[in-house]
Amino acid sequence: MWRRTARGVVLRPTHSDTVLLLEASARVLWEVLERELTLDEVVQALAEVYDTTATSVREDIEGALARLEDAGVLARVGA
Amino acid sequence: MSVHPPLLRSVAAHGLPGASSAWPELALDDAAWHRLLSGVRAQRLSGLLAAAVASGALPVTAAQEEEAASAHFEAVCGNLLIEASAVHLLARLEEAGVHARVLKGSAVAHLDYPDPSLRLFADLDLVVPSEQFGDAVATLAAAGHHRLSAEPRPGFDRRFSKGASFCTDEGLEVDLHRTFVMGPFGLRIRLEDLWESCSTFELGGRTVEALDSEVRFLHACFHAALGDKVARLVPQRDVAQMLLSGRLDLARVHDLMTAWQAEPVVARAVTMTWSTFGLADITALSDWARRFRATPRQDADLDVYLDPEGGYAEMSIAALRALPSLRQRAAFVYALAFFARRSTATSRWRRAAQAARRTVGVR
Repeated sequence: MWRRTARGVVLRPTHSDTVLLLEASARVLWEVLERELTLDEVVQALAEVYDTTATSVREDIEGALARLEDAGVLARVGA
Repeated sequence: MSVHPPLLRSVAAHGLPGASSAWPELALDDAAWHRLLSGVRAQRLSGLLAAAVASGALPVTAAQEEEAASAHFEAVCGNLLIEASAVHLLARLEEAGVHARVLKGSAVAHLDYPDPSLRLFADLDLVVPSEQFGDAVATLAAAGHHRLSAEPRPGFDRRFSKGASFCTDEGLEVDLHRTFVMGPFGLRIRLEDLWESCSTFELGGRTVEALDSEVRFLHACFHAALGDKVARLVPQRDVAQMLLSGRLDLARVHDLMTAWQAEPVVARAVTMTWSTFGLADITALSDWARRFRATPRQDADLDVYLDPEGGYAEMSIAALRALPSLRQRAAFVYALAFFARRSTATSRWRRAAQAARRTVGVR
């Protein structure tokens, strides 16, 4: 469950009392994830938003996706 | 004429096509800003305030922008807590075989607004079929929800009442409904129409049911027209939001309101909303509402809800008139008489208990 606010995207996992606030690039990442995408597609989308190369954002994105997955607000689907 | 200040109404109408607005040219001074913020919090409009600030419609200072963002953030966190509870409770009800739908709040936010963060709510409202009301009450109690007022008499809830309110130890309020309002207009609703079809939305990875669009609109009209003696702004915004979306099947709205004898309710909700927000757009329904004239009997039924001096007794007498059979009327009167005797006994016991506590305190 999540909402957009001026401070960022507020997330609340269903099975936790934690509230997560996604700001700046994490917020943009969340908006991109509204569609079901592969990792490469996510990396490409963020690289375009920030006008940089896929290589330079890939590591940060992988870290952010792992944290969102650990928090239970993101699920990996398929192989 | 609306009792709400023009600027507060502008916030409530932000983003509606054709709404007349009273935005200031410069940021408000501190006193005016805090009056506005207080009204926004009381009316649960911080989502629309944040949107008005973000769009530049309402000029603000940096400090005011931060306060607006803070108010919205707090409200959003509260709403997500309510929705997390809704997911758990709906699962418990489903396990118990109870068919429950989200009545307003979260459902309207997700289904009728372009962004759910615009529409805030204070509690969880669920509707269940009358015949499952008892099972739903038992499920809520088993899940740790305390009922706020007792059922007047066994069976009263599923036959005559609007519903029941519950609270958790953490302060989360859940309103369990079987119909929209108490009194005559509530008793005339054909409850089977609430279950004919549904809308759905995603909540925490779960698909949950809500009333279908037209029934949801009629509920918004009941809430706006009869929900409070002084009409709140959010229900009126809901009415405008749904009607101006152009997605309603107006022929079905007409059929349902006629079958429920709810024309005075819909007419009042729509005319009041159009006046509150100064809406320029004329829809077929707003045009009908403007021309609608209630009969003396319909006016009397509306007065039961709107009279500042009106109370439970007036509502009960009016409800009695709405019951179709003598047998139902007799059951209603018997249940209320029983309730009145028990209420008196309870209040006497409470007074005695308070007196005892005071005595202990003096010692």
